[in-house]
Amino acid sequence: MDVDMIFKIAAVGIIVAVLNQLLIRSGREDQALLTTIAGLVVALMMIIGEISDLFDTIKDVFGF
Amino acid sequence: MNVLSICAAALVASILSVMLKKQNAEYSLIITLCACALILTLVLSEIMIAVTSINELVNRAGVNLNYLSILLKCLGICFITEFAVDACKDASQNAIASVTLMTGRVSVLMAAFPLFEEFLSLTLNLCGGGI
Repeated sequence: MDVDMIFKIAAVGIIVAVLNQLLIRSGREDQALLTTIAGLVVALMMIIGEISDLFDTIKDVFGF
Repeated sequence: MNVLSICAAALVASILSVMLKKQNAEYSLIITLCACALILTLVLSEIMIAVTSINELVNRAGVNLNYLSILLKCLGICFITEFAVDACKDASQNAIASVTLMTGRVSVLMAAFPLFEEFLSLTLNLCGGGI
């Protein structure tokens, strides 16, 4: 079972939250925004394979 | 597939999702989506076995297999639509959710339409009309 994907995404989220806070405190709001967007893209790239896998399985099982 | 491990994974994903909701809500949504996709993929491998045996039963009963395939297609559309609608509702995007729901309903109707047509023509034949 591929549960570590969930942990990976949570780790990315926590790291991005910490970086966000650090960058905002040191007065670099634009870089904080960029970090958030980059983290989001990374998480989306991780999840998109799973969703495509799910849709392929549904197509297979139900004969679309 | 193990029910216990799936329940544990669901609980862990929920806790992580709630934990991240305060700082950045988008990660919470992504974790929810990922957990849903993983668990559904696991369950679908079980459903595959059930579908195979149902196919065999229907084949043995001598019913036309086209009917069963239409039924299964509708079921698949329902699965995918429900997944997407629940994700949209979790992100509190109710407009997108309702539009997706409507799309799913229309797709189920379009998938089931040949069956309905056949049923109507059979009924008309019985009544002596014909289409």
